[in-house]
Amino acid sequence: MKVSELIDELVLGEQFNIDQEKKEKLLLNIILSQLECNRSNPNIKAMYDKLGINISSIKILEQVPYIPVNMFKYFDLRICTQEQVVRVLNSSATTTGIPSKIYLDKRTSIRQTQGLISTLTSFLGGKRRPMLIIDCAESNKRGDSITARGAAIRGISTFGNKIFYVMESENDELKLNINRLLEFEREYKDQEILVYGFTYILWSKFLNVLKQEGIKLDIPKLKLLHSGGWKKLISEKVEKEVFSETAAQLFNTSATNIIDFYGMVEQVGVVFIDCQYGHKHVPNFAEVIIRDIQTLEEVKIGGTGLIEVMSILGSSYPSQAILTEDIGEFIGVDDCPCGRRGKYFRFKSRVDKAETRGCGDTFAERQAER
Amino acid sequence: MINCYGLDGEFYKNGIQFEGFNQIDNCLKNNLAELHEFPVQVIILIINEYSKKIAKNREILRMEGVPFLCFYLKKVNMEKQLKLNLGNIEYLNNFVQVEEEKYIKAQPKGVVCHWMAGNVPTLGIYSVLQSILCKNSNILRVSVECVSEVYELLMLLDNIEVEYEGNTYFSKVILKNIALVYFNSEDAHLNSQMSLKADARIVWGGKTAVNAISLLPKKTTCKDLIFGPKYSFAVFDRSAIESDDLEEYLENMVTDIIAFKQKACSSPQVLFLEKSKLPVEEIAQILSGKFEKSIKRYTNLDLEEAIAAKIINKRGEYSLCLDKSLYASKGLQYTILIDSELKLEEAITGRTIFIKQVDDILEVCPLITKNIQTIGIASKDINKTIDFTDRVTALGVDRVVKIGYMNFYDSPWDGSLVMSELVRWCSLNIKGMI
Repeated sequence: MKVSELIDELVLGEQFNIDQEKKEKLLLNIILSQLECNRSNPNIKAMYDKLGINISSIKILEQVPYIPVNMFKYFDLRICTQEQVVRVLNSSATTTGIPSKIYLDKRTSIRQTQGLISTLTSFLGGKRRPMLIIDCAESNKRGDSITARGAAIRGISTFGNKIFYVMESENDELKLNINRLLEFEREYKDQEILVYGFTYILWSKFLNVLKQEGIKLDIPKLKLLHSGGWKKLISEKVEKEVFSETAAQLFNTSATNIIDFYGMVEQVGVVFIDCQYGHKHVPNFAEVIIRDIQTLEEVKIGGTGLIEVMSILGSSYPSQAILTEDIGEFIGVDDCPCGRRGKYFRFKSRVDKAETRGCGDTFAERQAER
Repeated sequence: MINCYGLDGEFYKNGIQFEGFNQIDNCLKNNLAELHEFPVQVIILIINEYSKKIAKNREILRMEGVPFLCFYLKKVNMEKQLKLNLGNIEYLNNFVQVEEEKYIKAQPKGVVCHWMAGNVPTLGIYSVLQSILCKNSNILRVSVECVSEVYELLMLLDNIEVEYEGNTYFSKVILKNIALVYFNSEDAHLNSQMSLKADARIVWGGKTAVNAISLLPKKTTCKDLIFGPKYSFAVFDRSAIESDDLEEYLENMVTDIIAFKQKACSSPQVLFLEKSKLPVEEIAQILSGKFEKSIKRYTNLDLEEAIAAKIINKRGEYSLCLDKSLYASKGLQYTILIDSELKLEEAITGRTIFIKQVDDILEVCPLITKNIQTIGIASKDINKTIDFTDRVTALGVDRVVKIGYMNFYDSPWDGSLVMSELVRWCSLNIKGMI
């Protein structure tokens, strides 16, 4: 079978049903062929050369050279031609103030959407339903470039048969349109619906506003999906449990219907959703390696380290192995009680950027004083 | 709340708690007179015995920086340091005639308060014993990371007795003049209280700590010794690179990098190599080999997440960038980053060294400010070394030392002869009176 056919089979087929050993073999063959293509980018070629990467000698996924996620901010890591680029994904600029640039060709874009749908289907079923987006319509506007928020909304929207944006953008500030929200509630309160929003926006611009206004909704059959933005919430001391409980109370539903998923703009299409046991599972077309922070080797089950996300979805940028700045715990392989196969893990936190400052820490001062 | 681990010559493993400094201060004041009666030679002898006790304790010797501490505390070195600082150690005992019927004595300052940084545990011992040699009493505030190490080190100072001129003296008197404390560094009230007790304040730390302590209220007579944030680097000139000793120099370079997790103000962050017949890449490869050898001995990396993330990002940058290169271990044990931009790089630490080639080592001069503390040098040319040192010290560098010695505590430090600052120079001038 040709590599592209194999990719389609893994992306379009039922997810979480391949045993780890078999999955690793399948992914390795695909990824090795993709790594050869990556060499067409001069920066990646330089990297492989400097690190002495001999693609044919890579025997396991752990040996695949990874790219630190921040490098998408500083380098144009495009594998396809400029003409083939249909969209550029931009991350939120976060701490560095520089956004990531992810170049998508048509094939990658389609596969990312397919991957997302396949994954979500495993958790939500295939049925489309009314969907409430806790954001403004402008965040998903058509164009050559798109933000992480837009990309997530666009992907998840495929599960909605009717889409309702409940926020409005006023002078770049998101404001909740309460009338529109109550109208949605009146019409769909007894139906199965989907709600999606960025975690921080949900908390600060939606749930907090509902609390302030004394509004309690009654939409018990919802599934609320949220992703991204935990860093800001952690700094505000909002734990995941508090978030889920608050959202559940305000929607009059069970906290089990509040579903956190982990993903990133550099790996759109690959999302990790909590199963009923609180474990994040890896779809068939992707892989996760939790690397020890000192040795960079894969940790054993029970260990924690940096999360590396591998994917076969990208043909326009090096998606094969991206090392994040997130810390995860490797929980197990093939044996989650939920029945999903492959590795499963827990997201723990962002890398703690605070460091003990020694007396050698004078660089910033020195630069400022020059 | 203050946690006090050593007071009045007694040790408290779990600490005893005080709400303020009055009781600690009173205790020190009561004990100061006894220390004042000690001839300085006695203090030197006790410290020398202390050095021997440390040297016999294998467990303590494993602590980073302790082997050099043993050497530093030896009698011969203490005498040398005191002579360098004060000119004549007798100033600490008596009024010494300096002119006809004019006498000078170095009296203690009184209570010296030390705020220690968390990166070099042994620094607390250097700081407090220099103050003790000047017969001061001391409040030693250590960081939470260092409490147990400083505690273990100070414990060894107990139960030492020495004979001097027919009398017996006990180290307990010294310990009675050291209060070992910890309190939260953000506790403004306790910091202020401690500051107000000080006749001299010695502050070791990063910018935030130093600035915060500098602004605390203090006695108008209080003397400040601030050892704030500093940056250090290394230079190898052509004569060193082309010599047979290059491998040894690079081995010593690794020693300087590895010590104190590369977080000391004397830790090198950049290595400037003068152009020679050896390509930079070849030197970097030899350095990489030296690292590989060393990491087998220094296995405890213990990297913080933030530093690991920085190293990973720098490795990514230098591997993807077309005009930069790198040599690195498989894990994060060491990282050598090579580029040609003539600048000082932000300290990454965690055994990360930037290498840059220069036509002449003097090209580093425009990079120097008063925040540069140490330059480690490798050269076979004494005249060139002296000329280089003269130029860089004029621009702000405090010390130039041979490679491998960058982190060895020395006097002067940061431009100060510390002990000369911890005494009050008092005079008696009675010419023609009698």
